Amino acid sequence: MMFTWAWVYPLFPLIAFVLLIALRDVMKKKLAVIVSLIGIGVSFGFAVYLTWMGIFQQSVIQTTKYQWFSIAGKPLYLDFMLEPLNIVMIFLVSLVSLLVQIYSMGYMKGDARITTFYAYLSLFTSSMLGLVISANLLQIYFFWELVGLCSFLLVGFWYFKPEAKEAAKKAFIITRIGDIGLLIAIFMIFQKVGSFDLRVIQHAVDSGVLTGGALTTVAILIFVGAVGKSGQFPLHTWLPDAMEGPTPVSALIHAATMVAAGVYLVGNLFFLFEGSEVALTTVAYIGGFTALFAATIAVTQNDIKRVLAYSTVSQLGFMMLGMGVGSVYASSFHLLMHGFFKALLFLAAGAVIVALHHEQDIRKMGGLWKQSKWLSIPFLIGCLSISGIPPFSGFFSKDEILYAIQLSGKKDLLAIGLLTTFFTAFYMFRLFYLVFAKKSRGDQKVHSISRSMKVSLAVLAVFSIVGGFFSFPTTSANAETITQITKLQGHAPLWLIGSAVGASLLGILLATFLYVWRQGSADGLAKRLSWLYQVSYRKYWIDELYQMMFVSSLKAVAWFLNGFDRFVVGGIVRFVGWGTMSIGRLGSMMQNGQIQTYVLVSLIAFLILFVSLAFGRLIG
Amino acid sequence: MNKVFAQIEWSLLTPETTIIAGIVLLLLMDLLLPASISRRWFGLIGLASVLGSLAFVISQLPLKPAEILFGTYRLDPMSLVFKLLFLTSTALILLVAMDRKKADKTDRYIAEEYILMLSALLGAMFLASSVDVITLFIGLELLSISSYILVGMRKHERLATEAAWKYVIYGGVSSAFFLYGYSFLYGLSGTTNLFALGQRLAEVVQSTQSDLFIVAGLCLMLVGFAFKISLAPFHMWSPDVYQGASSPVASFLAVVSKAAGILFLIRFLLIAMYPLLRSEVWGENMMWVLAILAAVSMIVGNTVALRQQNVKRILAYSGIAQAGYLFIIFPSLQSNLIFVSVSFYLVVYMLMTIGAFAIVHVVSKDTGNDGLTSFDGLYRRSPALAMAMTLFLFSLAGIPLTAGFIGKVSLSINAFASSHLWLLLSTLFVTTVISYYYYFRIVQRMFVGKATSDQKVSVSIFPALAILLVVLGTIGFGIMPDILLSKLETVKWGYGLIPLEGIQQLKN
Repeated sequence: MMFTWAWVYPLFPLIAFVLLIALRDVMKKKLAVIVSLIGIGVSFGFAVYLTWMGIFQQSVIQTTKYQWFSIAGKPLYLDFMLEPLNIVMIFLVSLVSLLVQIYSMGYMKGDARITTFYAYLSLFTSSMLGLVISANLLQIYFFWELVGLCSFLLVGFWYFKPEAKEAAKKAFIITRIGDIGLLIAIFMIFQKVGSFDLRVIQHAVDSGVLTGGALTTVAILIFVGAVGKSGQFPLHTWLPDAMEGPTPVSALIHAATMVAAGVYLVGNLFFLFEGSEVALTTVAYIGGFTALFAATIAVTQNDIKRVLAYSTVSQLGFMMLGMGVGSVYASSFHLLMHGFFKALLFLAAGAVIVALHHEQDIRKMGGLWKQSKWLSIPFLIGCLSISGIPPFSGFFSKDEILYAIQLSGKKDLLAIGLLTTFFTAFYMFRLFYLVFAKKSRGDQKVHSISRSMKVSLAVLAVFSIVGGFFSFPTTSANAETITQITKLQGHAPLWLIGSAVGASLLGILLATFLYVWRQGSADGLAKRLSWLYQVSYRKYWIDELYQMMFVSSLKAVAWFLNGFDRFVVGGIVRFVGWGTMSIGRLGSMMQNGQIQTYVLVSLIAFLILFVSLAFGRLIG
Repeated sequence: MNKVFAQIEWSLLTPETTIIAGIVLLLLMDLLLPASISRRWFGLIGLASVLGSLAFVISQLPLKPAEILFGTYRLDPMSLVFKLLFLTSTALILLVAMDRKKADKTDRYIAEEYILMLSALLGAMFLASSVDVITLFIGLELLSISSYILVGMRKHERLATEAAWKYVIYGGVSSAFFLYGYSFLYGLSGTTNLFALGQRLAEVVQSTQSDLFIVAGLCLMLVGFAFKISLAPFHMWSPDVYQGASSPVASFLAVVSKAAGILFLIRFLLIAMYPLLRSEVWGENMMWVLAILAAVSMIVGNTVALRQQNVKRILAYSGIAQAGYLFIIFPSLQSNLIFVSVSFYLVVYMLMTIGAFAIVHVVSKDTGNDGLTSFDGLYRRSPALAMAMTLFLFSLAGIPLTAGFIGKVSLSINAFASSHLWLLLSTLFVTTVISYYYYFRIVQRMFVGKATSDQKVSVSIFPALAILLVVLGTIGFGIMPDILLSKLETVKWGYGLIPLEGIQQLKN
């Protein structure tokens, strides 16, 4: 089947963005919301059609390319691909974006800048849709940066909060560090292969043009980019801070857009990783470490959104782990399922926050179960799903990843996977019990939640329950594709399923024991294990470490260079020139001695130039 | 003698003559008109002569390479492209400069300001059309001396006077370095023509087996070039001077003056030094020197900018870094492609720099200062200006959807395609990330900062037009770079580097 208009997906939200920004001051707020909804709605409509054609009808979808510009005599194309992975991503992104936008109608009601908010959401969706259909590295990078920019805008949306401002900046700068890796990888590939086109690159990998050390380097550098975007250790610190943005934005970032981009990138460029054992092992172990590490942090956090944020970091680590053991299938499946239940959890958490008058500390919550079924049931569904309890969606995808790990034969990673499952179930149900069980700790009246919020929650809840029954589409065998997605051979053995569910149940049981049956005993435990508790609560002091290592050192470098520019060089020079100056007293008010400095610096630089060139030539 | 004069094809000089006519007209009118008549509309005359000149340059297309005045003045594709660049930038800058405060203290010198800007432009244009050291240098000096005075125009302001003073001294010293360096080369070769110079120097090296004087001469001249381009560590004048000068003048220095320096350097290195650069040892060492200059500029420009509190100083340091980016192409002096990238980046750089300075001009006119604080809350006072400024800063930072991104990509691709300068490219990427920090600081202040007043910032029609054009260019070349890139690729850059006879031979 020929589908020549892949570009429609990002187009409609983009049009909505342009309209909203241009007519920001004249457009009525209601109308702005409607325009934005239409934009994403149309894209979603196309996505459903595409899913029907591509997944259920199993047709291979061709796209066309358009020349964008040419550099160095080589034409660069705007090139799209619609393979199963792309189709699934389009579906996920447009669905979650649509629901988040519907939800925001209620959540952001009354915000003075709601038009701007919707404009940013539209641009965010548009860039992410553009990213997931790009078949050209430069184009991918283009959208990759745009996604980063949008998340900066949205995380910092409430810029009058200093924390939001800081968080936005942090998100932008830290993900940029990863982007350097990606950019270098892109240029390395270009140098070796001479093209940005994924098909050409894949061909080069297959035919052995790009192999060995170069392939490993490229793959690891690309992974560095994914680490930044997907909040993997050690670049994960921005993600929990990004919670300062409005909750619908958190849902969007965590479920479908920003962080999904990293996992998607690894999946989409898997042919690069496949050829390098080192790269795959790196991915697997970084992912595994992040999964466990973030899960242990989530255990002690007290902000409802932070717990969820660390759970995202952990789950993304889990997906990376799946990629690392070689299964794009399992990881993408989990990415999709995670998109459903994490969006659900975040939107439900947002509703909880609204219901409790913007309280986010879970120690001050409680007893919501009785007060609002609309909050508690979706949240419970999300918790069961992320914990991997059958038959909820998370069970199926988590199981696939564990099975993939088992197939790879890495026992240590399997242990990490199971341990993460245990911790995940524990912290999720800790959260659940603290928020919903027992008596209300605050005595405020609960806010009612609006209908638009209920709609979104309901739809996501349904997907979280039944999602797992639809198997993830695999690449049809005879199609020439970039991403080869194949199902795992056979089925997970019963003992594996049993131990996975067992680990979850154990986690839930422990949470129930500590937070329901013997309330208060958790505090005692925390005291007895105060050292461990502190390590987790302080998030392993990673932030502090970075502050010390990077921010301070960068500032020091700037300070140093500035000082160097002005004072050290100036000082030396002034010392040298002091004699001259004092004799002539020419340093009038206007000159204040500095121009001499400048010229002398030039002279010194000249001498260095001359000496190095003259000597370099002699040595050479 | 008369016969010789008659044979010269004076018509080739029409673009320059138009500028001269504009200068003369402005001079006469300033003298003849009574003092009571406002001279604020003089800018239009300046603009008209620039646009006229632009039209003549375009009318010279399709180009027939030619030389007059005994080979000192020539017309080749390279000079034409740079002239277009100079003229467009000056036209845009004039539009911005026409926005003046009511009863500005410099109103008395308004005619001088435009005259000097035109004469500086004239210098740059002569420089663009020359392959002889004498005329090149005269063009450069005409440009420089006019700029010195332009910087000091606002003589009631201490900073301006100080800046002009520094600029004169530093510029004078650099010229001295340059001439001193050239005197060695002249001593060795006895010629001022770049082509002849290249041949003789190669012969000298072959016959004497010694090139110490050439190295000395080249290094001395590099100081002069680096000063013009404001490469670190020869950059120290530029923050002070940009801060002291009015914003349009600062943007003129940042764009026209820098581009002229780059053109001069290209011609000098690739014509006079080419035979030497081709020899392995020499070329390798020279590349390292240029690479280090580029790296130092990127590092110094981008890190020192972090600590600046004045927008013009930030832009000055950013300009130093941008010069460093442009310079990464020089170590890979090989192909036609580098000219495409360099010229594309220069156009992009022109757009975003003029745009940023234009907004600084408008905002500082409104708030009375050009500190970072003057941008606080600009978004609430004037959303359009804030967005345009954000666009320019993003473009300077090289974020996708802006022309700056494509410019950087094309520079890096060509640097990659022809050499293995990993160190340099890593410096480019790392310092780019550092630069986000200070560009974002301005953006943050515009969107987050508390405005000191609620009044709209008033923008008059001319700068608004300039900003609009520049915005269109920045977005347009960011999304559809091929409009420009494909044109630049068809330019026969090589013709700018070989003698006229060579071109004719090539054609036959």
